[in-house]
Amino acid sequence: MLADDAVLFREGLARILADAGFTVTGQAGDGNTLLDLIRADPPDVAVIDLRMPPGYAAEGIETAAAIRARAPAVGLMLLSQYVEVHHALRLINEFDGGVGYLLKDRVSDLAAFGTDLRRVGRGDTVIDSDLVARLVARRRERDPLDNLTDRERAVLALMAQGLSNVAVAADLHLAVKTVEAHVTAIFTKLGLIQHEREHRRVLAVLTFLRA
Amino acid sequence: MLELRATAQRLVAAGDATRRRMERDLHDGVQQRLVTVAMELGGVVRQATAAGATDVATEADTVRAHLLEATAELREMARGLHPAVLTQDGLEAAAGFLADRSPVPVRLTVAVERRLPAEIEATAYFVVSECLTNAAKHAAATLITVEIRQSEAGLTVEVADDGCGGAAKRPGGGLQGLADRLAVLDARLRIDSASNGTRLRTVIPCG
Repeated sequence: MLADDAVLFREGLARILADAGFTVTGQAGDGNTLLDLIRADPPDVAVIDLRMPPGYAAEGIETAAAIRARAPAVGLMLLSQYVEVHHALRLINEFDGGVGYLLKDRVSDLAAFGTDLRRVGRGDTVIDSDLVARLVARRRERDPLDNLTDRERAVLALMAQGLSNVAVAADLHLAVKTVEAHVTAIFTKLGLIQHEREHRRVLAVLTFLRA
Repeated sequence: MLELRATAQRLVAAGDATRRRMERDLHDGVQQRLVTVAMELGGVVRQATAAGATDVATEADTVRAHLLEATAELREMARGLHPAVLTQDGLEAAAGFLADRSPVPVRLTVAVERRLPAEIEATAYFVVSECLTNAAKHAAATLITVEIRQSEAGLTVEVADDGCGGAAKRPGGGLQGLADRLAVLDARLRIDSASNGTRLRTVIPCG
């Protein structure tokens, strides 16, 4: 199900998602309409524009919160022209997984976007790579990231995007055991507590990168 | 004099409103269109791949990448006009964004309890933005401290660096522009710049 006040974008997205084998069960131009549609027929995932009428602020997050309260099984994918760190932290904090936050640009790579939609539908967390890159590149005094090897930095960035160890291994063409060793090393070097669940892990890593 | 100040304040407010509106128009108009076109191009890539036209698919994907680069540039321009994050989420979030992107490490403290009038928030934002840029570009600083505090006297904005100094108001320069903008809000820009660092400070009355 899709919600965006930009009709051309929304209909274009519906078309390419249908081409890619998704079933688009409904479309809305604002949050309240989407909520009504979801109450009537909850989808696997709702794709929601962050900035919608009436205020063109962050209505999408409020809509997402209302959906989660009423239909907790629906995955929530938020799209935006800008990705902001504080929105990402809020989404991870308030939604216990099953949530994504991507630049709108990402929909033009349908294979990757489709994968991300399915991950959100499964309950994973998906965070835009641009946002993570910005945080990893952030200049710090006495930068703790200086202690990481290049490979560990790459693993850290993928973890922060919400990838599991298995997915990180596939992305970097490494064995899962190797990735697990890297993850342990990263958490030790940064003084972070390891979490079993990816969602908690994303939160820990992003909070650390932001601090 | 009072009348002149009121006129100047209206001019600044009108300028800000125009920039906000332009950002909105870019966001809802051109940016949205470009992203939609990129998405359609993505569809072409897919079709070409499915039809076995690998060359066409590769070429279309390159075009898509170029288009997304242009979109990213436009996004930065829109942000420079007026950051949506400032309007939506306030000074702390907007200053945090500036600090995240600074090529010089920033120690940021924001103590602002409530939302302030748009022209005050925008002015404080532009002060921080300009000072961070100067510290990185001209002062070869290794650390910048930014403090934004709200008190009874008003909103204090202070940016200090450990660079080589040399900051001054010059006709047509960024700091002169800031000082002019601040004067309209009844605030002065104090500049202390020496070979061991620069400190810029202003207190904007908040009524």
